[in-house]
Amino acid sequence: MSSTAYLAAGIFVAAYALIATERVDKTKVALAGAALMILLGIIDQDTAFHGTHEVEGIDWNTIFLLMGMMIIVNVTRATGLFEWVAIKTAKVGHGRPIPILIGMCLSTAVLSALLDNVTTVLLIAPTIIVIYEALELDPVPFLIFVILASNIGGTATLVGDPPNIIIASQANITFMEFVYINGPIILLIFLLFAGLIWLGFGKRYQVEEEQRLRVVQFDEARAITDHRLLWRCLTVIGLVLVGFVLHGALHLQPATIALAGAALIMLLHPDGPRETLEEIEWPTIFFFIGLFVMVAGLVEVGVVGALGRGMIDVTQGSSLALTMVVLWFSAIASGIIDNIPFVATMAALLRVVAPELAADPSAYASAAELVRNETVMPVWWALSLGACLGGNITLIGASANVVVAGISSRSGHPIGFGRFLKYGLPLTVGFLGLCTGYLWLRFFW
Amino acid sequence: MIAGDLVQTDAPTLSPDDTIAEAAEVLTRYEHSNLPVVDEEGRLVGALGEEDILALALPTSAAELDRLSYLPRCYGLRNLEDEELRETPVADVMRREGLVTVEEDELAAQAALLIIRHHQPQIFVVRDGKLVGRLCRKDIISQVVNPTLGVACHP
Repeated sequence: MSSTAYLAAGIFVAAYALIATERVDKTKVALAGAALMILLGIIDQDTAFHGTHEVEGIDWNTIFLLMGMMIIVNVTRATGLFEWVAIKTAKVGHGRPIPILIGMCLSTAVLSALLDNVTTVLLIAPTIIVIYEALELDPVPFLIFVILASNIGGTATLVGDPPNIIIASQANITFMEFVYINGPIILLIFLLFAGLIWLGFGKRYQVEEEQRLRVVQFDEARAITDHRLLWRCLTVIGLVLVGFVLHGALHLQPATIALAGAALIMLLHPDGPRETLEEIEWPTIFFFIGLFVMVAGLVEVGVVGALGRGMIDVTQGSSLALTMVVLWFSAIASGIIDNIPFVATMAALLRVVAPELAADPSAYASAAELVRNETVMPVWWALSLGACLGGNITLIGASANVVVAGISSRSGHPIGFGRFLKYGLPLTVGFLGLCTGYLWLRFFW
Repeated sequence: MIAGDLVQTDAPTLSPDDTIAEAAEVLTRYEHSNLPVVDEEGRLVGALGEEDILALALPTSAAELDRLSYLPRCYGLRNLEDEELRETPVADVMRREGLVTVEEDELAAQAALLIIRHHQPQIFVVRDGKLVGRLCRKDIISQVVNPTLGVACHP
């Protein structure tokens, strides 16, 4: 490797270490790393911003999909929809703790799959705490299961979890392909998850009539602040979902659908653009931008290519071995560090090795087809399942976990790291076992 | 005219070791909405206001909720009487950050501007980190209506 390659690798490893140890805010680190890569001439600005044939550059498809969904969710948030769902679920469960928990997990998983899982838990968690306080139960175990459900649900779709957004964009995978491949295994995992909750806790948590009546008296109708806006939001979300289902057939990128939805919801919203746009999580957006530039720098100088060839050597180019290694390695990595930088790097790596893995590269009509050739495709799915589900191993494994831990702690119910690990680790190992079998059955049997 | 010209130096203060119950008592007795908390050396270390006591009366998760309107009508406010909360020291509840203060030698107009910008009923006047006293909206208003400190030099 050249000295520039060592320099690029040095910047990247240092940034990764700072992000993992949380010594400096991750957005600041990513932007500083990106600026250094360009300032030192490791990558030129044009390549970093716009990409070339070999280097992806900033993935604007991911950026605009994230921003579009954030706008849609933030406008919807103000209507009280999420609180309504939580209360309705509690009342359908007649105030009994375990039916409520399973209902909450289902609602959270579905909302996390359709919208963004971080926003979903951010809005549902406080309501869950109030409900379990009314039942005079410690909300912590229930919150842990809701976090797990949120990451499970988010894995099912292209928009559910940021790793999937990156993977879909880099491997040209459509929304419906996610539903076809990740959908069935996530459904199975969720059913097993709900069954285990029922078996493990059904008898342990019983409450008196008095507490149950208290929950039944929660009034979901009062949670809705603005009926007119709510119906507009539901209409836009419905249209966006139809758009996602059809985007492959219409040859439109998911980001286009999300941006159109965001534009429509802003037109239908009485607030000015400043209020709505201020609510976008800008630190997250800039974190992604910084990461994409840093990864592009690594690709440009050949570090990613060298890593990729190493990976092929280790697995001897076997698609099966590569799939299983990526599944488990992604899960472990995601449990320990933020899964976004990991997936951004792995996605770049898979793009580089995809042509070398293809049995007959000339058989694919375009570069877009080649990055998702038959040999590498199961590896993309392994990356998605491993990175998304791996977030469930520890309390810091995914953004949703960290957000709920913060809310819970500020409400006087801190979730301990060990307490989360006690449920998160064994369940996730079991779920990954299922994924291992599923990927084998689906692609190698 | 500077902040020091209008400052009230005899206003009540709290110590970090005072209890919430004592703080609530002072807040209601003096009709002050926000009290400075000062340590033994007279340094301003925090503030405790009516809103901080109100927050204690809500369900514990309320701080994270956008609204409480859907709770059952039987939900009351938490009663400070029967809780150990009553004995909580001021240091545990007081706000340490975002205190609105003005240096004693700053313009009185700067104090007025901060009061308006931060929607405060009053502002704490400090000198080298130590509390001098407080300056209320009313003090400024009466000075505007009935100037006793000479004429302003601006048009």
